[in-house]
Amino acid sequence: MKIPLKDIAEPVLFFIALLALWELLVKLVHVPAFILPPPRALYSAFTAKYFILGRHAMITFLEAVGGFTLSFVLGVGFAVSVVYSRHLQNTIYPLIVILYAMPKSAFAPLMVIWVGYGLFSKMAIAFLVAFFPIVVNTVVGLKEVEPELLELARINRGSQWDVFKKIRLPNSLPYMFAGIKVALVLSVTGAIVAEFVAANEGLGYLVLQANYSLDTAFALVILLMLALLSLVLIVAVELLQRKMVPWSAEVRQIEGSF
Amino acid sequence: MKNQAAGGRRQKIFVEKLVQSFDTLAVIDRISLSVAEGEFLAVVGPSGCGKSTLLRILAGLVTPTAGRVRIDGEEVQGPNPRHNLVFQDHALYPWRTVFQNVALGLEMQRQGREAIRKKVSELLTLVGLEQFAGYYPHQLSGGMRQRAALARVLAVDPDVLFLDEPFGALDAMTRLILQDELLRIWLHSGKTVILVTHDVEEALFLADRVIIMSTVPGRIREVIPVAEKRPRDRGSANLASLKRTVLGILGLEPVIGNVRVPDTNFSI
Repeated sequence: MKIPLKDIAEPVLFFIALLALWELLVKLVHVPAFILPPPRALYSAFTAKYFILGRHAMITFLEAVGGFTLSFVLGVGFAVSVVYSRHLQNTIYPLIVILYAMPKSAFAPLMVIWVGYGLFSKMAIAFLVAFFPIVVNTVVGLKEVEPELLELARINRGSQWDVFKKIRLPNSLPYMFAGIKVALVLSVTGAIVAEFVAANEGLGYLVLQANYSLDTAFALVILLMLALLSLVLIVAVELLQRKMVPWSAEVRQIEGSF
Repeated sequence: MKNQAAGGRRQKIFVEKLVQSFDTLAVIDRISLSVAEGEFLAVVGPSGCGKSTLLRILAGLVTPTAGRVRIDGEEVQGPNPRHNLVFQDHALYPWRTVFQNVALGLEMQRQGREAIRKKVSELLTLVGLEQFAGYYPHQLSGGMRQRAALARVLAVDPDVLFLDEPFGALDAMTRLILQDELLRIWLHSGKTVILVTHDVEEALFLADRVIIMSTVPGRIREVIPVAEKRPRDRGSANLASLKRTVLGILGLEPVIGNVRVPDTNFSI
């Protein structure tokens, strides 16, 4: 894929101009550094503390990805059972809907009591927020199959397993990927919120510490780190999606837009 | 050539007083018909006349409200790979390549990998898609998709082939080419074909008999035998005159002078 030089130069120049303007305005208007530090202060905060930043980022990454992985495994499993079992649809599904209506991050204080102070209470919150987009999207993907595709399986006397493996599951993949992308971003947010509530490590904890000492420059650096974290995860999923569902319309459209 | 002229052969499909109604609306009203083994039958009619529903009942996908369908003397009670269907909108699996799509029915019949590979390659050659085995449906043209759909049905070697407006979404040129191909394949196959179409010329070019249906309720209005030898000349005077007859029955007769001859007892 060849990208025209103009499409690289334009955003790069734009960001340089933005940073220059920021630096200039902060100087001219004399904004106090604890309200808005200049970009150079961010840079020095980063170079001074990148080791700490990296260590805490690793913690948050583990919490988010751990929680997400759990939500993926349980979410897909749950979606499949709901689609195939009327009993579960009548019993567990309404329960899940009630849970869905609750703000999941409000569970964070409870999770400390239930799961403890460490990594796992954060994973639990990341899991809770990521679970629903996975379930909802997978259920839709398993159900919304073109009727002709199912009729074809009927005509050819395909087994239930054939219909699941060869029709419903592949049909659900694009939906599942859409859910995964939402779930990943949410799981990072979930981990951060859980760290706000009770933690002694992770980026959420770190940003609170920076706030307490009015180190706004470092707080902003941490936010940028969080953006980077989410972006890395999204890009990884995007690449995986292209590999796994090259036939999907959404994937084709994304390819076209790059 | 196995298929030529339908005269004096054994009955393959027997339809008796078929009724299909949704709530109180009769979509199909007492249709009876029989189709000879190896016959090519076309069904034409205005949209909404129940011709697709009729096909789906014959294929066992829909249970009729009343009446019976027998194929080879056995009552149709559900879908059967021996009586296979080509859908209007190709219905290819987007996540499967052309090869995998054609292989689907064979996979479901639990055939061996090698047997599947051999059969699929054979059929892709037959429909002229051997170069495109590894392509996904979205990478193909409309005509190629219908070829793949046809190959997929032929792969399980059905003896009855139901075609539900298979070329309806194609451009005029591609449609003519695929009609020729379908004819070629059918002539060598001995299969019984029922083609539902809204294209009168297509029906007359391909079929031994053309059934004209009326709408709401769907009834058989007229059966027109086409005696002409194959391959037929699309421009022949005989076909042109038959076309005029069919269009007349459908209430679409050509304008004579400036006056459109009205059909007194039929309207679309």
